[in-house]
Amino acid sequence: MNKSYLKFIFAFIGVLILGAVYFEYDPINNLLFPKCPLYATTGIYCPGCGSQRATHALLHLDIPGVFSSNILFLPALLVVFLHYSIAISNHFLGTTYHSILDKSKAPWVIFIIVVLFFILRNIPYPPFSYLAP
Amino acid sequence: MSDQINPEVVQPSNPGVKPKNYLVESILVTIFCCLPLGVVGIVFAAQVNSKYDAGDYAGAEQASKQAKQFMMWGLIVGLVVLVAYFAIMGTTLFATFNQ
Repeated sequence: MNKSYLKFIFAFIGVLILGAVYFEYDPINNLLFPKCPLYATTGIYCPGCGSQRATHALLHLDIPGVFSSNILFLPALLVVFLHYSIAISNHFLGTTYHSILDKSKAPWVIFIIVVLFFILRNIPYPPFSYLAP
Repeated sequence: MSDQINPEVVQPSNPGVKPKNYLVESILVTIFCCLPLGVVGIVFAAQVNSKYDAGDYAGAEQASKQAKQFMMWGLIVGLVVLVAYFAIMGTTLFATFNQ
């Protein structure tokens, strides 16, 4: 029990430190931030490409910037945040809410969205090119 | 009578509980990390659900283990790339300053 609390505290501190770094520095053309290895080696945008820029934009409340870097970033973050909020509420407050991610078909729906995004953002013509980071 | 001679296939100790499908972790690896290993994790997460719903508890346990493996590999590869990146960057900078 104590071990899982410790994990949460470490994760929280880690997120705080990373948040400070990503707030202070713009990942574009900064040597501090590694490029995506898939993009660096193949030139293909993966579904996570643009997340560092999206993080920087989100911390500066630049919502259009978040969406233009990675359109799935904010929805994914919100779904995950909701999922953990529900888990914490159910654990500590004894509520019985259900997370959308616990639905039986949720992984397939997410898989289809991610794969479509993966393919479409690599098509170098508008409107698909707007999905590229 | 034959039922007792041939026992059923061994089931996990608690067939009523759905094994963890690591969907959230796989989504996080997909969005925050680099390689599409998180996507493979999502596929296994889907298999955990569909096998569990079909009553295949052993298969669901198996898919749960594989989902965890791919999610962990995505995480490990990401961390290795990060550490390697900083090592190369550090040595390069160090060499430049010492010239």
